[in-house]
Amino acid sequence: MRIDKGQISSRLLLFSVACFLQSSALLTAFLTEITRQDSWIVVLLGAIVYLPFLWLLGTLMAMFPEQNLIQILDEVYGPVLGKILGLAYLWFFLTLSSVNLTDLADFTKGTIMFRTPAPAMSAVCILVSAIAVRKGIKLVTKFSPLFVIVAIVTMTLSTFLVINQFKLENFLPIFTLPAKSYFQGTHIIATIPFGEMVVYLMIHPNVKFSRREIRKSLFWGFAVGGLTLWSTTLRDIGVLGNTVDLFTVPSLITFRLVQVGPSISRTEILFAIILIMLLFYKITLLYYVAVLTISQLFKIRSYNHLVLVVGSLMITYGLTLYPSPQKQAASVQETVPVIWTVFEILIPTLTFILAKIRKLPKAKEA
Amino acid sequence: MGLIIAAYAIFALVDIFPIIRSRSWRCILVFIVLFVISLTLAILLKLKVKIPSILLFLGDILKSWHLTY
Repeated sequence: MRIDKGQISSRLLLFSVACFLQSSALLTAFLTEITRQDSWIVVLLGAIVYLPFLWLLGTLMAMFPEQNLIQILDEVYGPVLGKILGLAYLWFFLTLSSVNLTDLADFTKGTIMFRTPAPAMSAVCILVSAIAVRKGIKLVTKFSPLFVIVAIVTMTLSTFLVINQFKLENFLPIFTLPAKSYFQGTHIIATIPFGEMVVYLMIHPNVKFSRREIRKSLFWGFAVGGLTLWSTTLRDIGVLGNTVDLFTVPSLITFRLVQVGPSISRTEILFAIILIMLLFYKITLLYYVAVLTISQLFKIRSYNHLVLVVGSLMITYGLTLYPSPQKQAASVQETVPVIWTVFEILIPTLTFILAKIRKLPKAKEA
Repeated sequence: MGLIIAAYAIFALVDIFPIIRSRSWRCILVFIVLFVISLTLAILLKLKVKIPSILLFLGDILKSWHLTY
């Protein structure tokens, strides 16, 4: 049973993946607190470590081209265990959407709209996203190429504008931190932005693709998104040096340092707008995936009337997740990567192995 | 509080009648369950009741198993 009949091209999938990863620029602060001036190495290591799992994701998509994650779990683990795992994924997708929604509201409140309460901003975001989610995957992903291009142009431009403040000695000393910090940093980057790509297992039946195309789109999307994340980290370290770990959003400070004559300054507003735009995209996609998962789990043919209620749950649930930003930072650095590993790496790997052993998917009888 | 109840009443009115008309009982049940959870959370948050965080709770379990950083 396919709930959303809309189809997107594999090229749109590429831009969607890139946009999804670019929106994680906000998360580099969690990393720079741990690995400081070596964070650029850790982003690179995280990407390398995640590559085999990206291949696994592409292979699962190619093996089950007509089934989304919930249907795959049902087929591989049977109806009971499959449903239990499906419910666990529903919690995972809802949590991911709620965390990102809260992040967006807090970031907007902290940078642009100081007096507006964060839940009000979450509500506005949900109301706009709900329009796209109701229309389906086509509208959800439609603007991703525009978002990606705008983000790349702005990031590149900002790098040129701060090049005079870029110091190579800011990257020194290299490899002086304890080995545990590199391991922890690599784990964070591999699970939090990169591993979250597992959400695409809910979308791939809506992508027109051949086996080769799907891996290519995933890989190139990952390359564009990962390179943006890496170059952002490089730029921030090069400009901010050993103060990079002091800021909640290092990129915002880097943009604030842009000073070209008397007319071009306070460009951090550009970064704020782009990050809000990218996060809005990520939330809309995660929102769509959460609604789709509920509909698929409970076999509801039309999800349109569930969109608003799921959105309201995302807002209220998001407010219960972390009592303070400090608790959130500690949780993201210490426990979240371990919990996420189960959903992003362990279950997909086990599913792949079991599907191979059981020679799934079985060819349908005529 | 009045604003929260009004907001929830509006979106319940927007969605509940089309679902009832479609006679999709499963959809009605899922809608009611999600609606009740969301409204309860909203009221509790408004009343400043401390709601335990699932992520922090899971984190505590992992810490007791020495599975965290």
